[in-house]
Amino acid sequence: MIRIIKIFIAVVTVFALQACGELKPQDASLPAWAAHVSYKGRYLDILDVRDWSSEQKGMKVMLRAESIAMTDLRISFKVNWYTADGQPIQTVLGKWQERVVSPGQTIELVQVSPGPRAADYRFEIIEK
Amino acid sequence: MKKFISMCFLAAALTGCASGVQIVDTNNDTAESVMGLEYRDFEKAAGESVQSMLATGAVNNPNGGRYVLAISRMINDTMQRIDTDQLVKKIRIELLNSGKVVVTTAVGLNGPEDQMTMAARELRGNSEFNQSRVAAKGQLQAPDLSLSGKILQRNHNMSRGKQQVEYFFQLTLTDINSGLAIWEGETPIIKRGSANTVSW
Repeated sequence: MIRIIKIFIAVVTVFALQACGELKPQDASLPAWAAHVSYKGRYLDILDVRDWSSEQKGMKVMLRAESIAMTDLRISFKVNWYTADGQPIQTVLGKWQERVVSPGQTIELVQVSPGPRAADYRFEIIEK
Repeated sequence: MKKFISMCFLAAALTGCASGVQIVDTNNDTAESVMGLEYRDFEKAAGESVQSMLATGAVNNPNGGRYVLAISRMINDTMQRIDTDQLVKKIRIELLNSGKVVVTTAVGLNGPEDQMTMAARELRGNSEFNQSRVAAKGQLQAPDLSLSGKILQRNHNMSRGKQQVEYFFQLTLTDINSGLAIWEGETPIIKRGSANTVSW
């Protein structure tokens, strides 16, 4: 009986520890820009993401990245815009655009929000 | 067994009858481009133009409120028969949604875009209509800005049976009060492909 109780306690302890593990904050190694960029490619090294807000002009965002590919890298990117309460904004400014990046070249993707109601953004980048 | 084989043939035949038509998701269209102008080109030109207008603050009214925009002449100087509204409408929608500009449909180079604005005013004095609902005098808004532009095309033959087709979307925003161009933009769209492909 004591043995069964010991096993039970061991199992409960394992589950409890797992649960504690899930309560930990997200991987601290994630860069600061990760919240604003969706990119699963291999050849673009994202260096920086910045944004500027102005009541008059809305938001301006910039993503700086360097190609670590050995050949020309063709990428498509777009920016999804969101209102303060998280609703996506339908806009022609959120359409896919293409860029060709030379090996070692650093590019800056600069986009402007479709008006002052945009409060958040997310870059989507795919390699072609 | 015979029934099973017949069913297989029938299924294959029905599959063959499928038309193959598919609706394109315009938000995620990764299909190859064409040498002529297509909807993605208009989206790109409109998007870049509006981005530039918003970024430079050209459409920010210093007195507050929204500017009233009139659509002026949009010249199609390409070898294709295109409706320039494909470009202008996208710009209008984006500017309207930005909250900085409204477009007047009561003023246009070839008469008002929406003639109903004036037609409805002919109801003044008509006893059949409740006059309190008829548009009053002095309510129409004169435009502050005017949008005009041109779409250009240049074709060049290249070596190895290739050609380069260049399109330029040129737009100008004019302050009607002063006659000065307060914003100008040009979006080039350059396409290279087989010389056998026609771009007209």
